Amino acid sequence: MKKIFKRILIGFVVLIFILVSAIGITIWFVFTPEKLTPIVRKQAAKYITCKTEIGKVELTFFSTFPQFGLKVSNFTLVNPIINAPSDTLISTDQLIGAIDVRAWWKRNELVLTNMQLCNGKINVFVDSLGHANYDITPKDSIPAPPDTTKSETPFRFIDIKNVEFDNIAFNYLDKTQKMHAKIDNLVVLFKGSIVSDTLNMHLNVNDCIMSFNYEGEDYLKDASIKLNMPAQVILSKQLIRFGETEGSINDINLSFSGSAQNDNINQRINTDIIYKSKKFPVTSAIALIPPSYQSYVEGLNAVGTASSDGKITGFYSSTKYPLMDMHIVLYEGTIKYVSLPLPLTNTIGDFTFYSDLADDALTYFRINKFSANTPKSSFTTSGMITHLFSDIYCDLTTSTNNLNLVEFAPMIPADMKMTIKGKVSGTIRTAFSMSQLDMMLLDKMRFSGSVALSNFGVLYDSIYMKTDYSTVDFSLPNPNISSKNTKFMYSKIKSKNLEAGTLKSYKTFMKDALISLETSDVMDTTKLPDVACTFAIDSLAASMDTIKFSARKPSGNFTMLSKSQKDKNSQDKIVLAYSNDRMETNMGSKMSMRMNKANLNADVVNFLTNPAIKLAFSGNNLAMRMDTITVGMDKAQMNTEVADYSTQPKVKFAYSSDNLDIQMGKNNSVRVYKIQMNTDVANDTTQKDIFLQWPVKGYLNMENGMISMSSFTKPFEIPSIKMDFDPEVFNIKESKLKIDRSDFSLIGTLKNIKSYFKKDSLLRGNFNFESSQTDVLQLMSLTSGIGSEKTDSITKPATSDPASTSGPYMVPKGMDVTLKTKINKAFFGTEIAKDISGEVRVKDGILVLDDLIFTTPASKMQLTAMYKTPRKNHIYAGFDYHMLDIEIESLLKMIPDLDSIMPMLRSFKGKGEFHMAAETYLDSMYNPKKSTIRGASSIKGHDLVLMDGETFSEISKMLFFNKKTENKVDSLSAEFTVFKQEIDVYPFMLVMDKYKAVVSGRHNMNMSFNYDISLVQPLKLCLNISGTMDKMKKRLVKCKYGDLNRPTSRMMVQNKQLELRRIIRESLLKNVKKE
Amino acid sequence: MKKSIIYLVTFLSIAFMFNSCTKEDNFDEALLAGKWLSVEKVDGVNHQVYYRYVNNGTGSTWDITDNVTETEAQAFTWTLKKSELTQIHIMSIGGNIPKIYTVTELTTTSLKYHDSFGVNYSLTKI
Repeated sequence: MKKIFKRILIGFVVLIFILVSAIGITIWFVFTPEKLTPIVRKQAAKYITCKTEIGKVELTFFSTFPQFGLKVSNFTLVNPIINAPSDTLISTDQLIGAIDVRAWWKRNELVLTNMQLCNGKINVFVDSLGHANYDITPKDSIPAPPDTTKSETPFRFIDIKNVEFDNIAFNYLDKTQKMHAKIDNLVVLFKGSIVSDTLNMHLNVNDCIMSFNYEGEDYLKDASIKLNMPAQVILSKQLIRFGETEGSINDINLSFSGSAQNDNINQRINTDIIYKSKKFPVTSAIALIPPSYQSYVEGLNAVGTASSDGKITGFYSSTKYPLMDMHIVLYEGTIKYVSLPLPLTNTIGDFTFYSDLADDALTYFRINKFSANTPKSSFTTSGMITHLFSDIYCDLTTSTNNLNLVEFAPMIPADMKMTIKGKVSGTIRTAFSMSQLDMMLLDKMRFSGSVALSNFGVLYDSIYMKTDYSTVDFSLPNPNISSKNTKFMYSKIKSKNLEAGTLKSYKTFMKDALISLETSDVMDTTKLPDVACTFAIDSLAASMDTIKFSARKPSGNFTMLSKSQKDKNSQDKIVLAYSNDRMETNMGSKMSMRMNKANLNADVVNFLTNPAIKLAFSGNNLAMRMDTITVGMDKAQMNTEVADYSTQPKVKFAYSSDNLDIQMGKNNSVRVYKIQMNTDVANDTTQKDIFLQWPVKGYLNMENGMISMSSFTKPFEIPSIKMDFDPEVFNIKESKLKIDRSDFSLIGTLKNIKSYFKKDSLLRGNFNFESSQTDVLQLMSLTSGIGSEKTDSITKPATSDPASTSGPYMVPKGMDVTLKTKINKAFFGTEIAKDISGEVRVKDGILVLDDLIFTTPASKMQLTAMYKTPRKNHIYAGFDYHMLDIEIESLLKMIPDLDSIMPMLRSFKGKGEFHMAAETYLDSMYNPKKSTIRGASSIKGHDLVLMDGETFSEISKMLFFNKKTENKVDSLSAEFTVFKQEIDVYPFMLVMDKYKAVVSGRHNMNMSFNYDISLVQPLKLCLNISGTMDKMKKRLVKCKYGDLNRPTSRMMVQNKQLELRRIIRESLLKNVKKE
Repeated sequence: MKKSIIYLVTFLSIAFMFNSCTKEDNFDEALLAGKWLSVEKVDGVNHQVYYRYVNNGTGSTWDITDNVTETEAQAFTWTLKKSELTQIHIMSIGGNIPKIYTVTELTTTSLKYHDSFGVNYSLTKI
């Protein structure tokens, strides 16, 4: 068996040797280059119109085994065209070609088994008129008939088994397409076969350096290109279908498949290509960006790797680009950008670029995910960027778990004078266009997010804010509007602690705060922003200069709405609802206020033009202090309404509280157990006086009040007051007061208040004054000087001690006030009067006690008194006194001066009837002006006892009274008058036992006197006594008077005197009130 | 003794009964109208006291030494019958004080009178 194989092998080798020898003889000896070269040149000239240069043509077999081939050295085609960069179309050192002649001859098949170009150049040029330098075949002399048949090749089958370019420089310049491609060091291996018009091919570009320029733009510049491409080309359709093609541009390796078709009719290329790259350096990809687009990445320094896949579909023409759907993945990398003050490391991204480079609406760049680290922070972003070719619109969502703001502080423009620190975590979504950003059209932009601030601090100029930990949710525009006016922004701040303020002035500190805020466009400078804010804070403290404010658990909501320009019926409005558990505020060391639970509701309408204000406040344990004034109250309620503020303000004010305590200094205080007040004020702008400008009406109820004032030694106790009032009328429905020893109830009406202040009318009052006990002098001191002019006024406040006053009591002027008194007991200094009834009237500087009836220990009395104070140094005092049943002894005790006027009264004991009217003017020290003293008196008594005095003894001795005579006076009836210093005692008759005597005379203020005593029964004997008590002259004189009881015995003088007495007495008795 | 006294009184009474009446002067009350000044001594101090008599029988008086002006003057009514000048001073509070004077001189510039206690007044017309 082995021998058989050996012999077969030997035979095969011999056969090959013979065959090779035959081929060698054929090549080297039959078809020598010298014989073949002219043949080829001759044939080339037939088919090629341009100049050809063919160096040497050899027949090859071994290099083209198993086919014979031709090897042409120094092959050149020269076809000069104007403006062509070169005359040479093709120039190659070596061209080898091998064709299966048998297949061509027998089966009409073109089988190109081998074709090689080595070390050559190919220059393809098409000028601007479409003249191509590769158009080198002769044109048909006979015009071809219209091509109605299907295009067919001359061969039934074309098989290109091996086409190889080695070190070929290819230059393609098409001025009609403005396209320039240049390939150097081209090493290509091409295989293919054409059946009918279909070329199935495989192209392998091992390596080349390629540049490509289109319309002046360098799309490739000296790029290293590799390509391994199986493809099918349908020539009739100018369609190429790429198989699984792999290639590389520089160090970017990619594979692709799909198809491309030249559409001559529409002058475009239809593409449908899917590609996928391997990881490539980002720098390489950036380097491929055409120069005109390099500005987009100017300043960008990106290091790292990336990959991309996608597809390119659609038409490519001079006006259109195919649609690119590119998916780009960025692996670990580092990005530095000149505008970014810090590098981004560990950058990982996933992007999609979708564009036909023409349709702005179609184009987008989607960041599926991008994450990066800075030296101290990290963040991720995703979102969409659209309208890349016009107004770029970004819709991005950025999240971070740790963003250190200190790193980003350098990004803040220096002229903003802002520093920032702290850490941020959370998510922010932004959606805006570049034009919106440039013009700061915040109402058009979208911002939303939820971030947590840790150890955050920001300082803008002198304004600062800092927080240990806060979360902020925000959204522009407001997605959950509470009103149609606050669409612009929503923000919700939840802070463990938050401090804000200015460096030098105010400061606010909040703890555990929850604040929600909605606003309208804050950038709209034509109107105030609409604001809706709710807040709930555990504690709040604020300070501004010397003002400090703190509150515990303040909460509420605040709404401010501006008038809509569209809706004419709308109004500016502020609504506030506020409450806190405890609040405290200080202004310096002298003013403070604190309260426990408080609620404040405010409603202000039209606050920009004509505010209408409604305020409702309720607070408990309210305490205020201003300097030496302190105010405290419990359960305070205050309601205020203000309307027509800019024209004629109307104010409604209601106030009530328990335990109102007002302290002014050490000695002035007001304490009220319950107080309720309701007022209604309407501003009268026509008035000048502020009291008249703000006339008040309403009511006041008060219980258990206590007023202490330094000017009064005793406090005012007010068990109750109920009164209502309006600008003209004070209606006191109930008032009970206690002042030291005085207690009284005052009920009545005070009218003409407004007119009084306008000086149009007297202030008129009508009151019932009821008292169980009243200290009259004390009450008088309270009202001293009210309404007096400055020149007449008292310089110091009145006190309860009249003796300590610096001036006289001045009766209030401009008023007509009547007190209908009913006093059980009244104190006049040391005197006590009981059961007083009558009227006390104060009328325009005049005080009148009108027909006051009262009881004193001495008598029941009727008193009319008048006290006028026209001026401080001219005071009128007058009284009309009627004592109907008085002990003369008590009378003298009550009116000691009477003893000076009628000294003889001292000598009588018993009850009498006494009437007296007197008046005088006083100076400011209450000294009587003697020229103004006037007085008249009438006294009448029965069964009086004549005291056995020294004077009487002397007189009785001179008148020869019986020693046994009882000192009893049956009746006494006398009148006397006072005029200046003269006291005239009109003749009166004493009836004593069997004696009757008439006494008359004059008593002077200097205590001198001149009396006539006429004994008319039982004998007529007249005595004149004159001088003083110390130096009394007694002499018998001619009688002036007869028996006054017997008209016939009266003398002329006596009748005259009796007439005068009648005048005096009747004028006095005229005022006696009948019981 | 008692009888002696009775006789004495009786004698004196008869003697007085035969006293003749003196003739009383008549003065023209028209001369009284006007403003008069009287200087009156009060507590050793001369006071300037004014009187104004009005034809209708009313009048007023004020003492400027006591810091009283005419507008603050006190009112009175007056009558002059022959030589008897009656002034009834009217109190604001009610009540009248009659004063009777005997005129001894009344001219266009001078007025003199006295009361029953011998107090003389001399007034000068202003």
